[in-house]
Amino acid sequence: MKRILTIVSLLLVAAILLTSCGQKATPAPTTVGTTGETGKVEEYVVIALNWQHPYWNDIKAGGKYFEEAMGGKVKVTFAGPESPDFPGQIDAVIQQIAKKPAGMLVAAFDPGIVPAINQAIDAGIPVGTFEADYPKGNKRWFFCGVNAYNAGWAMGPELIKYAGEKGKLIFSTNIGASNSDDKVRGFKDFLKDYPGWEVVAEVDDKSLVRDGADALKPVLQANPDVTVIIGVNAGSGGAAATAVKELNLVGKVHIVCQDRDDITLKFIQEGVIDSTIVTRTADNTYIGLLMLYQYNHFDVPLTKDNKANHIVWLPGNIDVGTVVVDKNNAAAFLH
Amino acid sequence: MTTTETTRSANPQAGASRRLYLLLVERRDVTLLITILLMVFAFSRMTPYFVTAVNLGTMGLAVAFNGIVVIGTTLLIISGNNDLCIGATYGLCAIVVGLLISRGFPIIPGILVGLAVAVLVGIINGQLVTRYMLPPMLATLGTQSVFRGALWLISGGHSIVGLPDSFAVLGQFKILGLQLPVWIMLVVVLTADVLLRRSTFLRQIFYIGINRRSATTAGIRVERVISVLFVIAAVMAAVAGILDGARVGAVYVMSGVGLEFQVITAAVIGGTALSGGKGTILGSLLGVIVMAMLTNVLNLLGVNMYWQSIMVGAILVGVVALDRVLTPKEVR
Amino acid sequence: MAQRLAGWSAALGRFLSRIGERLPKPLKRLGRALEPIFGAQVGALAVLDAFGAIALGMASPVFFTGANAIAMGVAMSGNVLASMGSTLVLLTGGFDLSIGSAYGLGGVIAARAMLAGVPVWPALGLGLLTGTLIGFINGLIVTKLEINPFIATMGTMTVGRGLINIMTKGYSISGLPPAFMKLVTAKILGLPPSLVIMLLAFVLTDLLLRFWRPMRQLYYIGGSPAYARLVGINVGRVRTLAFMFSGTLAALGGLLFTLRTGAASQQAGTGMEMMAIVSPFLGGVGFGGEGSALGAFLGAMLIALVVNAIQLLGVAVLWQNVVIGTFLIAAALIGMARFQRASQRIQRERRKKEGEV
Repeated sequence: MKRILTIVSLLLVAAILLTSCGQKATPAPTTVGTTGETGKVEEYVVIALNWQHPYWNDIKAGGKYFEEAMGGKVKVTFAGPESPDFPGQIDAVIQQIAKKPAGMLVAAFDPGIVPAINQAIDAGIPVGTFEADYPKGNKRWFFCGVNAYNAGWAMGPELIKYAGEKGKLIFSTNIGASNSDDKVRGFKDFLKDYPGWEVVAEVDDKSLVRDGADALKPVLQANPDVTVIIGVNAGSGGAAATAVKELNLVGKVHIVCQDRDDITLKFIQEGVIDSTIVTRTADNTYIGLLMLYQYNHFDVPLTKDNKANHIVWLPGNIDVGTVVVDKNNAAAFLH
Repeated sequence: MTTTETTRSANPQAGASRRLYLLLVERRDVTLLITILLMVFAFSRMTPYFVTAVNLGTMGLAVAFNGIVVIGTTLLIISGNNDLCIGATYGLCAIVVGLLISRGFPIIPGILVGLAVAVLVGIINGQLVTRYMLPPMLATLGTQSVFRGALWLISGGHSIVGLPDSFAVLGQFKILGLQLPVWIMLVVVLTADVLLRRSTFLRQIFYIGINRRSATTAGIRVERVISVLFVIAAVMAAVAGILDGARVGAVYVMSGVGLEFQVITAAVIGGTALSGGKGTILGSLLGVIVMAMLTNVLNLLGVNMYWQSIMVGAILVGVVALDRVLTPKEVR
Repeated sequence: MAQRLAGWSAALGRFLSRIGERLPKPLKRLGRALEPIFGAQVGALAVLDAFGAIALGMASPVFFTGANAIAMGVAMSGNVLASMGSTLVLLTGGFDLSIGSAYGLGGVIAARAMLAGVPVWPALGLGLLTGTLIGFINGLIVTKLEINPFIATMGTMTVGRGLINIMTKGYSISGLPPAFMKLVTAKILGLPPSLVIMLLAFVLTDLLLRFWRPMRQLYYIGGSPAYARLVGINVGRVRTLAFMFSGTLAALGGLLFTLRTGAASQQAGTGMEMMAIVSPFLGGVGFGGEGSALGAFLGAMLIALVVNAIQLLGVAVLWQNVVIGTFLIAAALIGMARFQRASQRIQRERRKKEGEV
């Protein structure tokens, strides 16, 4: 008993030490967030969810770059649940409000988070959304990112480039993720200009490479004239590539997908996947935080007194855009 | 059940057929086998693609990994325990092996290191449940969080690529049209099934599952047996995870998420009672096969993915219900 | 160390009861009631919670603010409601994996009803009834078809989740009528409705379990269903009622969540069942026959404290899982230490009695 408890307490101590170490990197953080206070470290909070998913690594990287760029004047904290726990993210926003950070970036996937964002704004905290936005009734000052819809649309030209203007395709997507649905919607809207393309099936790959491959194979079997798989989430590329390889359809079935998971990049290098759409993920955080910081320290006098006139001088919408990653540049994107 | 009553009283000569009937319902694996054959027949009528060499190979591979993991789960459930940590173990050991081998570590030692990690995980889980008497679900839920977290930390949140072909061959080499993992699964499952029926050590788990206290009184070293079971479960999960990495040729960082429920469901369909004391390895494998067949045929038929999840849930309950209904009360 | 902590909590309980004995009669009864409460696993958990709260308060100045307390309370309200229902089902020896789907479906059905023109309160009632219905179905499958609760509730969970996906088509439902949106910022006694209703539900469940005789049946069924039947308890009906209670409370949680956010989230409730089983477990509710709602509540509070700590202390995101898992195990260990200590004490007393005889 004593032994296990010692181990447990050591782990706890380690965890706490790690966090305080993280805090020591920048001097005693205070949470003052108003303009122009020199000598104090400002804390900016980035709130998202499903942090366990590899996609968010790049988001974190963007935040870290911003910290470095600011040379110790700011501290960037990441908050929110590790799992896709939407209520948990809403609670995280509310709990962070109590800390009164200098600014908040919130990934607004779900309309349910809007009241929490508004609460933060009402508490005097500058808030912007990033990565995903829900603008209706939302008091956030700006959105910085690429909407999933646009990311889906961006797969369109790739489809035409590799597989022509007509044929049959399959979606490899997952149930219950609104951004996957948005990407599918965006792509389908692109297809409206190309009536020669027919969507034959939408397959649930459960966002896992193994399960996705096992699910895609029978669909490919039952639809032998399919020429393209469109992968929608980070695991779809790997799933589609594995399925195509195991059925010896490399070269006959094209794959265009999303995200830069290393498995997807590997398959691009091997020629199994044609290309993948990567959003300038790190920019989402970097630019978003930059905007918040600028607001706190500078002012562009659109009017003689922005604050009195309730004018936020920041731009309302920043589209960081996507990059197409194919055989030519895949190696550069490996982690 | 009235049918059996009337059979008995109406026809005293019904001895043989009644015995056959009882055999069928007692041996859940036999019933399941018949159910599966019926399903195969029905599905082959519904789509010409079901009974093709390629599709059978697809299903075989789809079954291979869970088939290995379910061995450990079945043993644990029979003994009255449970392990929710196997998904994390599956991923963690695969990541460890992948990291080592991608950095040039030789393959066999690399795999051994991964298995060693699994043994460690199994020991920790076993100790929490036996020595510190934590409820197994609670303990393994906690360790699942810890080891899943460890997985993120070790991998840095990235998938592992850069694995040499000599490793990938473990998952991709075909014998008679089926990949190695399928054959490995068959060998391991058959061995485990025979061992469970014959080995004196393993037979003890039934007694432990039925009544732990009387098992102790009977002289069974309950804690030792359960600790071994947790190690077996972890090692099985690790083997499956490593083979999964070899199959894809890379280790996906989210590997193993959601595995626990899939495997436990398969075991229960296969006749393993969650209360303990009952179950067979073959039955659990058949449970895995049933689940894989269902998803496979629903995808072949192009059933809308939203409806698929509803149907799978309903059909699973249906299969178990059917079994319940057909089992005469005396055998339950 | 765990044993020492457990010992302290028992000592605290004895101390309080001793004080109580010197006081007038009603307080004396309170004192005597307190001792066993502190002596149980619940007591150790309460001490752990208090310990954790104080430690957190010292580590972060924000912790003891009203805003944070309310935020934490609201954050745990969903889990507490689900745990209350889950406790009842666990007491009968079953468990309910469909809580998450009831939570989600309650909100979704209410939202769809409102969009179809049904007035706000009847729509909310419909959402609530959905939970009750799910519980009823669970009860039917478990009692009439005699299917293991694991499979049964997993079936309803999958079907429920599928229904949510179909009804929402993957998106959360927003754009609800203004009459409802007005309720989003409504407060009861100056506090968010989630918080108030959560506390009400907890107090009600705990008092009912402790003092209302029919609730005793749950414990008997959990202890031994065969014996319960012998004594004349309608096991099937009570279990079904427990499931219905669980489903209703879960749906209530979902409705409150929809109220708080102004939208019916399509993801709401996923993964909730695990926490709703872990919280009662931490609080001493075993797999049947023993435990209290207080324990479940304290278990939920511990989890909420850990999550709050993670937020306030800025624990690196990748460490969150490790921290939560470690705390879970630590809390369970301390609870088991208490249990071991108590059973050791009972054994010692038994041996002493046998020695005397």
